[in-house]
Formats: sequence, structure tokens, C-alpha cells
Amino acid sequence: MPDNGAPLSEERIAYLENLVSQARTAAAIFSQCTQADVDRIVKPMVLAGLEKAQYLARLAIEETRIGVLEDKAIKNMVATEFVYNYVKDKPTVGVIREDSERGLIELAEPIGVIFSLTPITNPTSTVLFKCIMAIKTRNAVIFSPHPKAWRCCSEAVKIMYETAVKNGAPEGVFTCLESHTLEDNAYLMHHKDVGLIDATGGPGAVKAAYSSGKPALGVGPGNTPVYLEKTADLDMAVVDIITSKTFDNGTICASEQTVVIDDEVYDRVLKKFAELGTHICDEKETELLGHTVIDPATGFMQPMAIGQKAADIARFIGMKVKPNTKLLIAPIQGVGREHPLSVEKLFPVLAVYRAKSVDEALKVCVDVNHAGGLGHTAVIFSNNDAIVRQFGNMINAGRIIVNSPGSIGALGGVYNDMVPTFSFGCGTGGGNSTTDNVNVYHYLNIKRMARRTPAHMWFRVPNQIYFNMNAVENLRNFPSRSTVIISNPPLEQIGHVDVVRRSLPAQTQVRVTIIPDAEPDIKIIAQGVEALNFYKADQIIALGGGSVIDAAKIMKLKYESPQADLEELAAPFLDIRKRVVQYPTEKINHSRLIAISTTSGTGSEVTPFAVMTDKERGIKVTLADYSLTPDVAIVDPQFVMSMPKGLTVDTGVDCLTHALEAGVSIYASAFTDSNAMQAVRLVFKYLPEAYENPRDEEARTMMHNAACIAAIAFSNASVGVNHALAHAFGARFGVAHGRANALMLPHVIAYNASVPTKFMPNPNQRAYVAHKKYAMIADLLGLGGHTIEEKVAKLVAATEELLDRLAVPRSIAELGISKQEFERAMPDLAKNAFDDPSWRSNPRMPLISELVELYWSAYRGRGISQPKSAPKPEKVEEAYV
Amino acid sequence: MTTAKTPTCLEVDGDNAASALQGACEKLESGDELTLDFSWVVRVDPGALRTLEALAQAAAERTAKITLRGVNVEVYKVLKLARLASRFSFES
Repeated sequence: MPDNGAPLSEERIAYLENLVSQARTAAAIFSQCTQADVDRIVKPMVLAGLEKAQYLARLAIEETRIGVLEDKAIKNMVATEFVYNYVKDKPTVGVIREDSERGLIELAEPIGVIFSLTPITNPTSTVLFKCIMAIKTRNAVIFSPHPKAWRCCSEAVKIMYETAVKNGAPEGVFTCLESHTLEDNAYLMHHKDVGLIDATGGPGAVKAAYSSGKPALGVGPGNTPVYLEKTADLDMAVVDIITSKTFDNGTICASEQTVVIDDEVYDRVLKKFAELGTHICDEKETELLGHTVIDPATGFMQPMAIGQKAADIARFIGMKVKPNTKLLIAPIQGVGREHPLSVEKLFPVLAVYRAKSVDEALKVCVDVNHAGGLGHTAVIFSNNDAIVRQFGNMINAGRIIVNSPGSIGALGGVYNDMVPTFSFGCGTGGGNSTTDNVNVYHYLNIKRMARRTPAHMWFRVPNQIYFNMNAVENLRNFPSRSTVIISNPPLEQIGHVDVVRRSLPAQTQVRVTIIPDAEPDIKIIAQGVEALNFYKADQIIALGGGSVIDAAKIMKLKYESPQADLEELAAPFLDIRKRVVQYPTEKINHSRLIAISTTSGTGSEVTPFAVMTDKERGIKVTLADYSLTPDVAIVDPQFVMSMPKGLTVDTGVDCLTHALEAGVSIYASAFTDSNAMQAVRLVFKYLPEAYENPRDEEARTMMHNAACIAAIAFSNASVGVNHALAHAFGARFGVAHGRANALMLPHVIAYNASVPTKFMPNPNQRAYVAHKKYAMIADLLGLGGHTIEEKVAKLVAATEELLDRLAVPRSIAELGISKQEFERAMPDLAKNAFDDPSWRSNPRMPLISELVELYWSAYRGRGISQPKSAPKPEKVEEAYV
Repeated sequence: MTTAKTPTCLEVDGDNAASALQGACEKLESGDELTLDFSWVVRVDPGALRTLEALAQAAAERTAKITLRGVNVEVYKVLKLARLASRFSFES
């Protein structure tokens, strides 16, 4: 090799630059070709390669003095015919794959100029293979053959080039360095116009390629362990190993290196090897081989032995064998430097090891694998599938060949359906970026065009909702053997439980479980589940406000699926469809849950949420899943006619907040909007009436309906930042949820109606429309105003007016919370509000600083008239996009 | 004293782009402003690309300005890949 280590002369640089320029121009021209164009070029190239297979094999043998003529001819045929068979129908230009359901398209982009190093062991076959791949992918290649295989390689390049150009490939598409030094290679490896280095060769070439900083396919040495397990077809295994290890005199780097044989069959296997023309070495011969064909200084094989015949190697080192000996088999006692033959040997010398057990055999294979073979190839002969799989798990190899020859098996397409190749990716174990059999797809930049996938939306509500006065009478339509009514003491005392009991069919066995009038805890849930089990309930009726209905939802869950882990089910999630923890679907009991609400706010009778208290940890646990949604909801205003004023206000404002937040949610749809808007209208009209005239049946009915309708909206569109702020504030200062919502509401409307600092990254948000949605609500309420800005301002004012009329505190200061106390609480408030999942559907993504600002606005109270930096006025109709 | 030359416009025939460009290259003089109309060129062959490279070289040497008009995006990409795009002006 003409390598004097001197810097490149100007002439030499000009020569190399010219090569790159030619290749670059060819690649540019080539980029215009269609799939039909390249396919028209590839086929004649393949035919030319087949026609010249023997000729090129002969050239290779004459020049390199390595390998077997017939095998090299076969390799040339595999590199053309088998590779063509794989690539001929593969799209490699334009759209190469399309998944219309997922909106994904893959497009091929050529790499441009590839700098390719080819080896001495498989010279012409590697060139043929790479030329076909390059043309199929519209790339230009500059070849740098191994110096001792230059003539045969350049002839192979010439044959491929002339055929390609004759059939339409651009001039300059393949070039071959006329001679080269390591400096030439280094220059080209670092050239800015070289897109990829494809280095097939020794460790030095591969290391240089990877060290260049360029994208590289570096495919280097291996050390193939073989496990010959006792259940294997021994005759087949022996023939396969001989076939493979003697193929081209063992020059394929995937060929077998050490065969680990089970003790039970070891003698039989060696006898079979001996019968088929191999020589089994004795201890002295093994030692002789070990320090002659392996370099004692480096521990690597001696180049002089590579690709030589077994008999020639034996003769060369002074070992007597029969003239036609195919293979030298050397028993070894271990793996490592003290067992020199345990390394890669690209010649027909095979190490064998006698293993006393499967465990020992696998360990020795792992040792061989780690002695220079990581990521490359491994072979197992066995009919025990469990052992085959265990071998696969233990060995780090890109190709694990089962019951077939390693070298030809790894090439792919002959003994198996792997991709045909002459470059074996060895993964990170071999310092490579891939474990694949290198193929056309590694010669492409694959571009993925991803269309926006419209998020699948849903609208889920209970199967049946009965509403208006005396709706409870519909209970008679639900036959049951055993019904358990869950309620709380006040509702039992005022006779509501009896009303329900009377409405059930006469034959129903009815039991009543009374739970405290507070958020349920795990103990209450457990007691309820015990009752449901004791009575073998097939129907559960929850009569109460949110706490009772939530308790009943959780009791039903644990009753039907006792294995449900509530703590785990409460795990946070971003998208309910992609949640990590799934709710149980296996049930040991089946029951119907009928929810009868006795407040007009939470809408728990139709929601998929349930909240419980974990007293031990001092936290609230929120469960959310559509399986929690009651089967039947009864919205009967007779149960709210006696609701106290304070509760009327708290629940009513909660209902309004649900509706307004669902209306501007990024998950809002026409389905949820119809409910959200109607609920807002009903609240503005009937909440003051229900508050001022509690016995007004129409007002109570409409507010009770409004709560349910708003809950239907937020069950499907979720809520927003108002709830996040209220949850954190209410928990910290013990303020009722509705009142906490009321304190935030006008400020949040103004906040959401102004141009977001950050948009929510969500495919549902096709445009920012919150301000238009608020304006639409203002129109629905008949508030007037001409521009969106005016309408939003009027909605804020109307909300403030409503809250004033309901006499709710209008500032946090009014609650008696000092500024200092609030200031001290602020870091926790902001943190907890930001951690609250409620805002994930808000039209603005809140910054923590904005949450702080909102809290301070709520602290000060009134004074909102115009949203800051409101968007320019537009038409309200554009709220739907 | 130099006299400003009248800009010349030359239509490049899609089928004979290389010879048309070769002609332009030969006639290019110092200070020329030449516009080549590529509206009819849908694809460039290696000969045309080589001539374009020579033309760019000649223009640089003779301080001439060459504008390519109506280049389609496929041909434009070829010029980018061949690192020639930066050596011409473009107009649609």
C-alpha cells in the first residue's frame, strides 16, 4: 500500500477534489430520476454482474490469493441475483411507504456522495452489492478498495459503471481511487460533500470511518460462537458447519469460530466431523496452531492464513494432515488470550469446546461473543426451543442463526428470510449504529411526513337520564333482587331516602347504608363494599350530593373489582386514552349504579370522576375513568327544594364555572358546546331566582337541570385554570369549592380572553378562539356589545353582577385573609395550582407567574372591565374553526 | 469610462439546454448582464450542468451577471445539490 504518511500534494488534492466534484454532479443529476428510471438501470447491472461472476471471482483469486474460486463466483451471484430479488420491488424513490390511517408518509432522499471502502476478503461481491444499492437509491459512490484487491475491485466498478451509464445513470456515478494512501482516505472521509462513509473491512478502516465525524456504516470483524446442543440434528449441524466454515476458505466474517458442543454428543460430533474430511487436532497440534496462525503479540489472526486452504495452512506450519483436509478442528479448554484459537479466524480452522452442561455451554458462548464478536453473528443448532430462545437472550449479536450455516445464513436470503447483504451491522457492541444487515434503506435518508392527526373526540354520558319533578318514579323501571341505597344522615332525616325506597318495585329487597355527610375516606368505602358484598347487591342507588355519589362510584368499583388499587388508579395522566394505569375490566360482581343528585352543582350523577380522602396521607385522591360514570342519573328537583341558600350559591357558581370552562376548553366540541352554552344561559336566568325564592319550583328545576347539563359538558371537555386555582386555594384556606370558584371566575374570563403568552400544545386547538367563545356566550345572554372585546367585557361585568346579587365574597381579602398570610401562602398556592391537572384543557397554558397574578387579582377583587391585550375584534361566528 | 450594456435575454430550449448554454458561455463578455429563461427546462442533464458550471466560472472571471429565470423547483434543487445555486441570480 503506497502509504508514506506525507501530507497530500496539491496535485493529489486536485485529483481527489475532482473525484468528489464528479460524484457530486452525478448525484445532483441522479436526484431527478424516477423509480422507473432507477429500476431500468438496476436490472441490466445485475445481469452484467451475473454474467461476469466467474470472471470477477477469478480476478479476485489471482490478485488476492485468498479464498476459493467457485465460492467467490457464488458470492458474486448472491450479491447480484439475491440482492436484486430483495430490492427489485422495493420503492426507493419518492414515497416509499404510506400509512394513510396514521397520516404518515415516508419519502426517500438520496444521501448524495458515498465514500466506500471494500475489503480484501470479499472484494468483488462487496463492490457489486454496493453498486446495486447505490443505483437503486440514486447515490454516487467513490470506491476505495483494499490495496491488495484493487484490480479486481476496479474491474467490478467498471463493469457496473459502464452498464449503469449505458442504461441512463449519470456519468461520474461511480469512481474508483486509482491508488490510495491512508491520507487519501482521511481526506475523503472528512470531505464536506461526502454524505456517508460505508466502510467494510478491517478494524482500522472501520475505526477511521467512525472517527471521521461523518455518518458511517462501519462493518468490521466478528467472532461467531456456535452452540451445538444435544437435541440438534447432528448430521445436519456437522455438514452445515463444514459448509459454512470452508466457504471461500472461511473469509466471511460471520463464519463459525468456536463450536461449543454438549458433552453427551461431543464424541459423536467429532467422529462425524472426522468422517467428512476434517482433521481433529491433538493437543500438540492445537498448541502449534495457536501460536502460528494467531499472532502471539497481538492475539489476532495472522494475515498470511486468511482465506487459505486447511491443508495449505497445515503444511505451512509443519503439521501433517491428509491432502484433501477441509478443516482443522482444534479442541480448546477455554476462551481468552491463554486460548489463542478462541478468537476470529478467517480461515478453515475451527475451535471446539466440550461443555458439561447447558449453563456452561452458554457461558462459553457468551465469552466467545465478548472476545471480539459483540453485535456480529452467533449460531445455534438445537431442537429445544427454550434453549434457542435463551441463547438468543444471552448473546449480543445482530444475527442469531438457528440450525443453519453461519456465514451463508448471515448473508440472508439463502437459508432464511433475512435481508441479503454483504455488510453486517454490529450494533453498539461493534461500534456500529445498526445491527441490521445493511441494505438499501441504509443508503437513504428516510423523511417522515406526518400529517396532523385529528384527535379522536368523544361524548360519553350515562345511558339514561331522567329529569324534572318526580323523575325518581322512574326507579320502578329497574328490577332488582337486592338494592342498597347509600345516603347520608340529613337526607334520611328529611325523608328523601323513604321517597326513593317507595319508588322501587315492590319485590325489591332494599337495604340502606348511611355514610357521613363528608368526602368519603377509605374506611367508609370499605364498609360500603362490605355491605354490598353482604347483601349481594345487584343495584346501588346513591342519593346525595357529590360526596355520596362519589363514594358510591368507588364502592361499586371495589365491589365489582376487588383487586382495584385505588392509589394506583389515581395516578396522574395527560390524556385519558393514553393513561398508564388502566381501570379493571374483570369483574366478580355486577351491579347497576343509579345516582340521584340532591344538590345542583357538581353534576356527579353524570360525571366519570370521584374524589375521596386519604386521611392517613392527608390528601385527596381523584379517580377519573368513564367506567365510574353512573349507569342511570335521576335529576329530580324535589330533592333540592329545601337546599339552603348558601349551598344553592356554592353549587350554582360551581355549575356556572363548569359550563364556562367547558365552553372555552381546548377539548370543547359542538357536542359539549351545546350543553355548556345552555347551562350558562340557565344559570344566569335561574340561579338568582333559586337563590332569592328557594321554593320557586321552575327555578329549582332549571338549576338542577343546568348542573347536570354543565356536568355533561365538562365530563367530555373538562374544566380549566379556574378550577386549578380554586382547588389549591380552597384546600389551603378551607374555602368551599363554589366560593373559591366565584373568587377567581371574572379574572379567569379576562385572562383567557386575552392573547396567550403560551398556547396549549394540543392538536385539538386548531385556533385560539376562547375570546370568541366568550363573546358568543355574551350574545347568547343578550348582553350587547359590538366587538368581541366589548362582548367579553360585558360577560365579565355580567358575571360580577351575578356574583354580587348572590352576595358571595368578591375578594379574598373579604374572607379575612391578610395580605401577609396570602403572600406567605403564595409559593405553595402557585405550585399546587400548577400541579393541578384541571388546567390541561385550558385555552391558555398558564405560566406560574400568571397564576400568581391571577391569585393577586382575586385577592384584590373587583375592577375588571377590559381584558389586557385583547385580540383584535373579529367576527364571533369564527369561533368555530 | 465604461458604458452600461443592455441586458440580454436568452431562452433555453428544454431539449437542447446544453448547447444553448454553451453558446451563451462563449459569447459572454465583461460586464454582461445575461438572463437565461429556463421556463421550458424541466430536467437538466450532466452536459447542461457542466456547462452551467463553466458559465458560472466565466461570469465570475468577467464580472458578468447571470440571472436564471423561471427555474422549476426540481431543477433548482439540482443546482443546490451541485452547489451552483449560489453562483446565479434567480427570478421567477
